[in-house]
Amino acid sequence: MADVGLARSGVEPDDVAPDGVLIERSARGRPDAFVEVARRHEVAMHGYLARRAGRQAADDLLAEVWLRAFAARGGYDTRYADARPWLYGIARNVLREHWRTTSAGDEPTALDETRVDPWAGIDDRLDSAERAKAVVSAVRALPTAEREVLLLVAWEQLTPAEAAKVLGVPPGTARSRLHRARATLRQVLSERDGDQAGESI
Amino acid sequence: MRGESADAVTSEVLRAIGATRPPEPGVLADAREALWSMIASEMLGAGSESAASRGAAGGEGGRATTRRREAGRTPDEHKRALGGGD
Repeated sequence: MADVGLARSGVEPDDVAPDGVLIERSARGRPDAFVEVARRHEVAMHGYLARRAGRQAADDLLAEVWLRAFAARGGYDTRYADARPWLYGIARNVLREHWRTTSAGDEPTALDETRVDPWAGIDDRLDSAERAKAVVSAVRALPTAEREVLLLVAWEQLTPAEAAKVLGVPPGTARSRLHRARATLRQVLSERDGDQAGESI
Repeated sequence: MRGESADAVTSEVLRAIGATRPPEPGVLADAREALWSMIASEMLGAGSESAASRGAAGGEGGRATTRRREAGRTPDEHKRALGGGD
């Protein structure tokens, strides 16, 4: 019934309205509209937290992200239809506080874990596993600022411009960090491949 | 392996490393519950303010009792009262 009324009045229902519209609604007398934003991005936010702080911590921290985002919604720039960069920025702050209180450092947990077999279906698994170790090692060795951009793009599927918004840096800075990170990885991995080729000769 | 091809493989490897299992539904529901609770507090607070101003203008003695009753609700009850929920 409510949806019919909204359609007649030309107002988009919450389930199809862009994030920016929902956040604006939530700041202007309809705070419950924010729940749809949480519903849309909850799996992605949990994944972001889990990759960096572990699954258990992600379970605990997700609510904190929503509470902070809700409290800060009045400052959201509603020109941005997609709230993901803003939400990742809030989640990043939640993580930094979590790391400070747990003294766990700032290394992404997923890079600390040994992934056993993420390449099911590929024949040369041994080489894949070796390559994975080399990639993890190379990513860990990157400067934090470069690693953050790289992982926001690779893991969260953000564009460099969106990653820049998460990190609060100009888009050009994010692009150059990403470029440097990729160049470093390429260099490290090509050296590794070269060494392996040399050993096999 | 060179250039874009190496980048593509590296990206694939990174994505695989970053793959996570979906969260348990209860985890997501709990987080939303906390959000609903905050939303309810805000809505009830706004309601209380307007009720207080109405009370000041017109003297509605029953409002304080209503607010006390509302403040004691669980998040689930808040959601139902606000017309939301899962």
